[in-house]
Amino acid sequence: MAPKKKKEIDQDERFQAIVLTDSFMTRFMPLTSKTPRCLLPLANVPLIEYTLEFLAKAGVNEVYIMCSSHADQIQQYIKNSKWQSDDVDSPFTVTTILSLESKSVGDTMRDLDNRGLITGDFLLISGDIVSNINFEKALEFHKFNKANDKEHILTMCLTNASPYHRTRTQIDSAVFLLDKPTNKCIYYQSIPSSNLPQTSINLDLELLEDIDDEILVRNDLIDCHIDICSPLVPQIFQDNFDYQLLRSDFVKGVLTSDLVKKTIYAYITNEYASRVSSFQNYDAISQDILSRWSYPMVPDSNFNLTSYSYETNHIYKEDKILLAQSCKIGDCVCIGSNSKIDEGSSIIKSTIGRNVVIGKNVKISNSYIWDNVKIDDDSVIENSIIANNCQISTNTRIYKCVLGYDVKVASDKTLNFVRIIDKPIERVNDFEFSDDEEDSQTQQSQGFSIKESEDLVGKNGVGHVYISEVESDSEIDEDEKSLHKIGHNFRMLNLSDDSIESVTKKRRKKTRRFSTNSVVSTDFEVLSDEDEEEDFNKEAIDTITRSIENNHDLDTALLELNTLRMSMNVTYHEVRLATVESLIKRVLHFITTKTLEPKDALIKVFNSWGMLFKRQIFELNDQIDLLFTLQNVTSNLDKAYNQILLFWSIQILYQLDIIEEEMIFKWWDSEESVETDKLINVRGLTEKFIVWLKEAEEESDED
Amino acid sequence: MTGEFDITKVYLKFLEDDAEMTMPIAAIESLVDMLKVKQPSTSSELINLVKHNTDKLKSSISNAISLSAGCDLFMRFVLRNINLYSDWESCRKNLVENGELFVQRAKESRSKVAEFGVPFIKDDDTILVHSYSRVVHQLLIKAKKEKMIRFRVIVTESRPSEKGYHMAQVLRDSDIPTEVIVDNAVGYVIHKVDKILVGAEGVAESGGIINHIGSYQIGCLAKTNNKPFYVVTESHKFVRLFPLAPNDLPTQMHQLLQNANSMSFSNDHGLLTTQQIDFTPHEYITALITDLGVLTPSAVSEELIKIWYD
Amino acid sequence: MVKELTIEILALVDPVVDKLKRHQLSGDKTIALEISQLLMRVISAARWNSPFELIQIIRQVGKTLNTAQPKEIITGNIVRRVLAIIRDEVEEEDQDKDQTMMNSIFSLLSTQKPDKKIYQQSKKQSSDFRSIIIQGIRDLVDEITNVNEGLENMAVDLIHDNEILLTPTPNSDTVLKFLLKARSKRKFTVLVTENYPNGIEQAHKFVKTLADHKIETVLIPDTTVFAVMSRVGKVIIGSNAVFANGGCLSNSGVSSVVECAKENKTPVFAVAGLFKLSPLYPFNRDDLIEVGDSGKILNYSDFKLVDNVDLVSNPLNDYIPPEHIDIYITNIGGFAPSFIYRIVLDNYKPEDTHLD
Repeated sequence: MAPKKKKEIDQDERFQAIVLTDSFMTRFMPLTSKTPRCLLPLANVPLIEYTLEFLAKAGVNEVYIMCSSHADQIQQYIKNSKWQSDDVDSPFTVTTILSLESKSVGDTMRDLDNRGLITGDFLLISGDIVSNINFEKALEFHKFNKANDKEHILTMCLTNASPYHRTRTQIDSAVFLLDKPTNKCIYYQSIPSSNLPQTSINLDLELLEDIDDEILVRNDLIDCHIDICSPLVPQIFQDNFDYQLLRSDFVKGVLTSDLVKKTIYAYITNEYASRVSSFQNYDAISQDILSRWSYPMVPDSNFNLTSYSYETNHIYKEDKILLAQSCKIGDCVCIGSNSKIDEGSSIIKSTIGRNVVIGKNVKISNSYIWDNVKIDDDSVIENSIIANNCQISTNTRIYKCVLGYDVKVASDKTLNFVRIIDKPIERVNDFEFSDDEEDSQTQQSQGFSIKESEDLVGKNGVGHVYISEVESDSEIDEDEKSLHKIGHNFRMLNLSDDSIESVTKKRRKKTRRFSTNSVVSTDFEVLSDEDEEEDFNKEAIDTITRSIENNHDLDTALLELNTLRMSMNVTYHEVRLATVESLIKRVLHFITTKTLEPKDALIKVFNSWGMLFKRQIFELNDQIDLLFTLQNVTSNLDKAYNQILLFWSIQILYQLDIIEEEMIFKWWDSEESVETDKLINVRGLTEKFIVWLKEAEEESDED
Repeated sequence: MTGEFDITKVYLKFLEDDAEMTMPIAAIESLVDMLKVKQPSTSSELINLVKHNTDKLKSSISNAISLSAGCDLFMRFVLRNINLYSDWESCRKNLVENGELFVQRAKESRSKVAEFGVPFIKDDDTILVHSYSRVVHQLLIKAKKEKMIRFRVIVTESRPSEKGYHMAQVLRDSDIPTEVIVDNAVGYVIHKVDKILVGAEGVAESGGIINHIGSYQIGCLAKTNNKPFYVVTESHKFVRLFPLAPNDLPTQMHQLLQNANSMSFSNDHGLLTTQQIDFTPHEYITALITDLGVLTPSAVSEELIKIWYD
Repeated sequence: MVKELTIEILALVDPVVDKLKRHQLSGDKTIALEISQLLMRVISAARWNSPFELIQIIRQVGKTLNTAQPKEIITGNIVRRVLAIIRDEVEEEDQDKDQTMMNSIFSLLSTQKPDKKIYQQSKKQSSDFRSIIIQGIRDLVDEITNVNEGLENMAVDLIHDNEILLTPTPNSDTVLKFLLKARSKRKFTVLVTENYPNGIEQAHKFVKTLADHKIETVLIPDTTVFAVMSRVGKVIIGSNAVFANGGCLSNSGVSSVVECAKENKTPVFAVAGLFKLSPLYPFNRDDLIEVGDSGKILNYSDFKLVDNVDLVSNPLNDYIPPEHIDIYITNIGGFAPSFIYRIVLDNYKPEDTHLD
């Protein structure tokens, strides 16, 4: 681990801001398959512009943009934007940092700490914020508390709202317990939306021991992750490898931990702040911008080289717009330049991008049409998002849909409640990581991800239904339904959220190229070449063996392993490989010394140490990866017992809930698992287990 | 040249030949023509000639306000140049040689007016226009063609000349949605009108305008309904007149219309008397859109003072 | 003749453009001073061969500033004032007085081409010229900083003893100074409207300051204006910008106050520094009036309303038509609205009215 650089905090030092561009979610799939979330247009301006504008206003001097998925696009964008450092115009220096290995906010923070960039208190913000908070006041609040409370490490900027406020995400909503006089945060409890309606939270009474005054329990705050952090924050992340999320891990962890003894304050304001974190939020915030709640972040401020002018009833128009005489532009509409709207069409509460062509008698309401879209006569679009370059033919009806890039819809089609993508995404990697997300209500059944595209978008259309693999139980429970009604139409759109891992994975190979070419600015990327991986493998095996021999507890072993992983900068795949190898090595030790039979040896080792994998597996495809690793390792062993080892190891991992049966089937059915004779051979015994599993599943289905 | 030079004939011919030409310009052109023919040899002869012909022209044409603006302007220009530089010879030469130029400039000034006036027209406006005016026409065309603004136009029929039909026709030819209403219906439509644009035959020193008959009542209606009443005009139509009431206008009051062919009064029984022009006092005018910029009525006298008293 | 600005000048202009876009400059006076300083820096940095090139540069700067914040009238005013300073200087050097005629009605008939003599200024000349212009801008800065002095001097003459005044613009520093100055000789009562929602804090501060100076002050809700108007002797309003036609921009709500004053035949005084006079014509309400934060009208946390109300609009300004104002009091004297165009002509050159 790199030694931490502890620099003295100097109040006069340049104020830094860290922008997290990746949310590690795929709530915006399929749109985020081609563009990172922070470059999606909101009211025709890329999202990140709002954040950067906020930072510029906040008087930040240095901005670090942490990119992981689509990092190249973000870098390119920043390079060509007005913010680029060598441009005299920029109020701060912008540096993009590639953090491709990061899979969570926690990873990013650890990466940040390793790079030693932080020199003082800094602003941690995600790249999708829209806010007009007077940041100076928040900073004052932070400094004031810091002066009074030495342990103060984090100030969260929260805004007043109400529990069912439209911009309050269900996903991120949480209860805050605050000390009334000081706004010190005592407890944090996120409310996963799937559990709605939740009526109680559990609270450890010890937390309240020191409180003499009143406490506030608030479930009406919008938390959009604008945090003023002390340099200790990344260090705490560094010390606690299991912290993944900023709120439910870090904040909750710090508040409940007896060891850390740090304090967190909440700055609560009535100004506007929100975070574009889901489709329903996208809709709500777009409307907020158009109806000027976010003033002065409104289209006619033209901070991003646009040319909007304001007209009564919140209509924003860029120049060179061609409007037919009889078309009707209603309230809260924003139209980009070179767009054309033909006779009889009506638009209300929507944004229209640039170069959009809208035919005759088209009705658009509450929808977001991006650039270069063509919509033919008599179509109706409601509550939908239409991404760039889509083409929609005559007399089509689109309700509550998301159309990805380049989708074409033929005439006379009706689309309801679907997300459409131009090409089906490679499914292999597309699995879930976070487990508290909300499920979708697309009524399609599982495993039916590529619907007949012709049915959907017509003969000349281009488009496939995008179904997130995660939508396990697609039934919507009644509570949720009612919530949707309370909320907003767009809630219906809130399909599932799964991790962005798919994209990150694909990029992984590129990482090396990036770093070796060293074209990429500022990366401190450690070269992860072969030697190092081998080193890691050796050391990791040593570590685990040592732990097993000395009978350390599981957590210590994990901690050491994680430390090793961080310092060597290797992927979890390597960690798993090393773990498998060391466990098998241990098993072999028992077998060769004849102390135990193969089966008993394996059961003993895996039962006590199998839980190691629990902390090494974050998403579904990790499970498959583990299975392959096991298969590979065992296939190279003595044929006398290798089948037994594989069979029992899988069974134990299954019992430990580390591997799910579906993933086992997936692995079993995959071609790679039968590639060589050796691999086929080792599967022998496991087949029974598979058969048993399948039968069991059928039985349960019949129930 | 043997034949007597007839300024009136020349003047009317100018108007006939070029539909785009306005009366003051035609007057100036005919005066220039006159100078070409007459070849005055002294400055006083020049002045006398101009004066004589101006009077002749004014008296022979019934509706003389607009043309008198041109004549006066020309006269003043000649006088001023003679006084200032005592170089009347080169001045005369210049005038004679550059006859074409004036027509060109007049047209330029019209397009300048249009440029100043376009910002007045906004998306989804309904504009009331009285009678036909070249400047108003050009302004609306510019707004439609160059700025691609959406607006509707309501044109008054403007009896007795009925030039409103012509206006409506040319606007409709440019794809501007236009409808014609009878003059009596102005009060009926005024509530849905966003602004009123009219041209002018002449602009008096007070900033009031002399225009096709009916302008005054539209101005009154606009004022009571709080609608902006804009006058679109070139600055060479500013005249040194200070009419207080309509009958101060130097026109023959009982002038019947000459171009009777456009008229179709079936049952007038000789009872109908009508005027062609009326005077709209400055208090009804929101602003004048001219080639000098957008002026308040009070700024008109300023411009006139600039050339007449210095 | 559109010439791109050089990088050095852009480096000076851009930060100001950003500030304007972000609404970081508040207060007309601040903006006016900031722009004058900027132009001074631009003139020091710029290279030119003839004064016309300099004029082009300044016009370009003006255009850039105007696009950054088209609703900010003051920026344009200052740029045009500086242009007028330069043009005056050029004309003085160039004795040809006839140039002024070019823009009058005579332009139709004049025969000599408006040929601009291309004069190459020698280095010496151009540095002299530069310092003259900069001195001119300094004078302008002085005029802006001391704007209240000229105004204050008229205060005593305009306000009578025991008079009741009403001001709907408590955010105007000029109005405050005006009243404080009058207090030195006169005793009077001031009614101040609350200016909900945008100026309520300033209103409270304003009232406090007046009360501290022993002026009898009453804070009234915006809605009671009509009820009290019959007792009011004069209405004093501050203005954000005064247009050539005599109309002006002021706080939202002022329009109804002056309407009410007209109904009661109460005289309305508008106070404005000279730098607020603009040669522009107020074409359209939309072009002039900045629409602000809707959250000030309807609190964003009130979810049920926010979600269900169709439209919330918070215009920050009102356009006051000239017929509703009786007199403008500027630092160079009082004028009728219909005379404003004349003052504008004195301070600006007509050729600069349109910067592009």
